[in-house]
Amino acid sequence: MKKTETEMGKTKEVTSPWPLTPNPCPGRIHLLDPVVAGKIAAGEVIERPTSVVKELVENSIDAGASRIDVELMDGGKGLIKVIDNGVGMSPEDLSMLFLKHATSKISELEDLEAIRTLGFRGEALASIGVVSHTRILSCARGEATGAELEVKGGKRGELKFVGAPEGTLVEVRELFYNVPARRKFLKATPTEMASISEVLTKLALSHPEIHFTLAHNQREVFNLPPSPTVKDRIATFFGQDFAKELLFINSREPTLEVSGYIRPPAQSYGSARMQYTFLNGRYVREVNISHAVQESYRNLLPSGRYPIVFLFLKSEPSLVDVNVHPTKLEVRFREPSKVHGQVLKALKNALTQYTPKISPSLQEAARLTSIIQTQDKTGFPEGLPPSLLQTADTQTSTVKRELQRTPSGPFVQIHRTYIVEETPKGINIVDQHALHEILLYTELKNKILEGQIPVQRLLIPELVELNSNDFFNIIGLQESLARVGAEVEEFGQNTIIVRSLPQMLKDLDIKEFIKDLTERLKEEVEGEHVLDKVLKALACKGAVKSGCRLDPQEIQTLLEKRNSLQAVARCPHGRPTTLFLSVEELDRHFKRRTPKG
Amino acid sequence: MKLSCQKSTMLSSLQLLGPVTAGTTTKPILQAVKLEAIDDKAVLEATDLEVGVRCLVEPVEVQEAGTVVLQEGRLTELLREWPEEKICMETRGSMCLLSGKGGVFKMAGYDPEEFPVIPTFSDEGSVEVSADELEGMIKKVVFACASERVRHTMTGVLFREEGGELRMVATDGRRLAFARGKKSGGGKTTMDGIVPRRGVELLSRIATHQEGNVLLKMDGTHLLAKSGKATLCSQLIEGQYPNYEEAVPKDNDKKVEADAEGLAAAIRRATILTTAERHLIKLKLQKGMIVVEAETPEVGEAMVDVEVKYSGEDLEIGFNPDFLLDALKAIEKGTVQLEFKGPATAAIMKRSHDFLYVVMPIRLAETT
Ligand SMILES: Nc1ncnc2c1ncn2[C@@H]1O[C@H](COP(=O)(O)OP(=O)(O)OP(=O)(O)O)[C@@H](O)[C@H]1O
Ligand SMILES: [Mg+2]
Repeated sequence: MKKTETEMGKTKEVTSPWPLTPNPCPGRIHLLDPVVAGKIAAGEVIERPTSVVKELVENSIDAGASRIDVELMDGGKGLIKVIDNGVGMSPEDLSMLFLKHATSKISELEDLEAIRTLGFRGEALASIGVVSHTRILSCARGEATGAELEVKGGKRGELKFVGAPEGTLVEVRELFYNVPARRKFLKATPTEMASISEVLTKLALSHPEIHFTLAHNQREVFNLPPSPTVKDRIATFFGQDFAKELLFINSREPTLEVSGYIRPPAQSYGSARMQYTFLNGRYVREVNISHAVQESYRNLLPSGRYPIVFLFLKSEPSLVDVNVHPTKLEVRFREPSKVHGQVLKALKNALTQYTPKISPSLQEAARLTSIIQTQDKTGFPEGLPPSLLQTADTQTSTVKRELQRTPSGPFVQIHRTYIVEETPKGINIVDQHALHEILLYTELKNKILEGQIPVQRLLIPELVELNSNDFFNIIGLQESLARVGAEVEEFGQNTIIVRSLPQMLKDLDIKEFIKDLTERLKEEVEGEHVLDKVLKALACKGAVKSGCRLDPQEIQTLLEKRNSLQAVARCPHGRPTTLFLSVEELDRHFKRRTPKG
Repeated sequence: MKLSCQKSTMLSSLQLLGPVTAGTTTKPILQAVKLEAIDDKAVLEATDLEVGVRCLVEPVEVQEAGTVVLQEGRLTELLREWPEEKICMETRGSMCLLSGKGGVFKMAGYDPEEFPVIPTFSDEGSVEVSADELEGMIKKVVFACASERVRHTMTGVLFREEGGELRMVATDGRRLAFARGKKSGGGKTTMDGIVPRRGVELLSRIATHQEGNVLLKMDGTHLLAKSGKATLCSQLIEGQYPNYEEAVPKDNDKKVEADAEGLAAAIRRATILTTAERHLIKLKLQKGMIVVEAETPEVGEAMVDVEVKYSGEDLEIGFNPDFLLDALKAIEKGTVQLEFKGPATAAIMKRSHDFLYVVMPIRLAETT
């Protein structure tokens, strides 16, 4: 299907020239010819509960289901159950199941070169059957009776004929019961849930026409009725406000169609996690696509920020190779540079047409920031990233030299963003947010090292609604949060309740803090401990924002605190807090000492 | 426009408008006041778009009806410096002329058409409260508002008419102040809205400076008030105010009676040995006594005994001293009733029927 922009935000659906919808009658399951089987990228695919969920749901999608229900117990470690209303299987088909290379989706070598279904290896159920206790109940479309088959540790039971509704039910219990090494390394329930929910998010985004539900420990996590468009599904996951600001993109060439939605540059993300790229209904990570995405936003995003995109590519199946890696996450294009070019162009078009509404004062602020940044290059030696687990007073002495700490002469707040302060040898221009942030961060860390932190309980606790991934991520962090005084508990479906906070964070916006933390959790930073992410998020959101008026007393306190602490030259993200301009530099600028030439 | 009046008459009205214009920096016209002469009266207006104040200038002689909009700061300063008791103001084109023994001054005016419209007050559907009662209530709650930097609905004061009385609530999510007041008159009205802190402070100011009772009402998006010659209109904050009744604990069984001033003095002394990062004191309840304690590494330890009426079990509970002092200050003199349950649950401080305060404790969490 293709979408074309008609009027503001409205899209029209157009059919695609390459039908990718699975064959409604998938044909018989058969064992693959050993030659074909040998060509399939082999390898371990069942590593965690998530992998099982992904394989089962993909099978349901391939079976043409319009509704898929997933039920889990204990993060999938107890039970994974997937029910669909797809075409189902005949008893004969069922009897072929759990054999390696038994599939109905391909048969000839040529089929491997134009894959139209999510599955094709005939391996998933066989692998699952070996490491668990699995039960399948299926009834082919139009048949009155179905059949049931159980397998435990690879040993198949008897095929039983039973009455069943059309469609298929798969139950996987005791996953890895016979692989202790795997079992031992399963993560805590919230972590597994976060991962499962992420996988389902991707599957649901690429199939908005399917009704998905997810329940965990008999509580509903999400329920996504069929959405008329991808945009609606994006809205159910990320909120109406989020979806409203999306830019539509579309580009269609004879062999490739690129469509989807992207966020304007002002709303970027801290990692590439929010880049959902799909090829022929399959979530993929592909270097040419990723590179084109990043490239199209070049110069529009500050460093360290990533675009948020939802891209749906549809290609002639024969022009892409999915048989690269057993997880099918990687794909190879026959003409990679063409794909790169088309994605880049589609995104650039949308971005150039988009005119952001920037208020004059913001433009001014942006200009000022860029001036300060340029000057900073000369004012500060580069390469002083604060090592985070370092204690406060082990920073190099270079930092101390950079800062003119001698207590404050006169100061003034400018543009509600910077504090300009006279020092004996010149002036300091201080970024109020960055300075406050590093002060809070250092103080919080000191308190943790001291072993005690004063915690203010909330009279009116704050409820924060999250999407299911983020919800599980935060719940998984309860202990670390409690260590810094933030008591967080589950409060119904996908909602958490924050009951206390460190006392020193008086002006913390709790919702923003939680949001920031969820972003940070998705970023992989070498050697960064989760507790450190928590501290950084607290400091960042607890610090006074730029654009906020400070009274002289507050400024005084900030500057005094700075003088009493070490290592405040950079905020926890490594951005400078202070720009020092010496009187000599000022004199030079105003040509005071240069003799007339 | 042409009018004349006593200098002090004009100045006393301007005085009420000063705080409105002082808060604005964005648009120059918001730093101005509008002076309108109609038949036999004159009206001054100022607004910062969130709050608007209108004040009658009386008595005044109007020779010619009309309107002029002038920069507030300059006008006030000039009148203060004016040597004569009587002033006469007159428009000349877009300028305003003020002349006499003090000299000849022509001040540039703004286009009156551009001055924002402030809703007018009509007595209908309003409640009446005495100025003292209103000021007292405001003083008891306004300090507990959340800082402008966070949760928006909590930055204001909830005004509500319920059970035939007026109620005000303010909270920053950590503590909550609640005041009740008597109505002196007025008919049926529905009053239920969040008034921004600035609006509340200006309301209190008007009540103080004007004579007689204050009339109050709400129209869905505004609070409207009238007192003497002045009327005030404040936008309401949109949104859901937290359910304050739920926040008040019902089963606090450890009840203490203490002298408010004595307790406040003890807390103030103990607080000297705390820091900004560890702003924490402990109350230790014992029979007949509260021990106020502070213990801050590197600063020192304090221990102050306060005699109280208490016969329950011992309890140790930590607080932000500022939160306790704010409430004690609102109570001023007399007996304060304190009610506790456990070290991690909300405590109550109250005085008779008119003031109730709920505050959450602080504890020291072990970080290792
Ligand atoms: N939910 C289902 N509804 C109907 N048929 C199913 C369902 N699940 C599995 N099948 C049938 O069982 C076969 C084996 O499934 P399995 O997942 O093991 O292999 P596959 O999907 O063919 O390939 P892959 O290993 O790549 O997933 C499928 O080819 C399909 O015919
Ligand atoms: Mg499969």
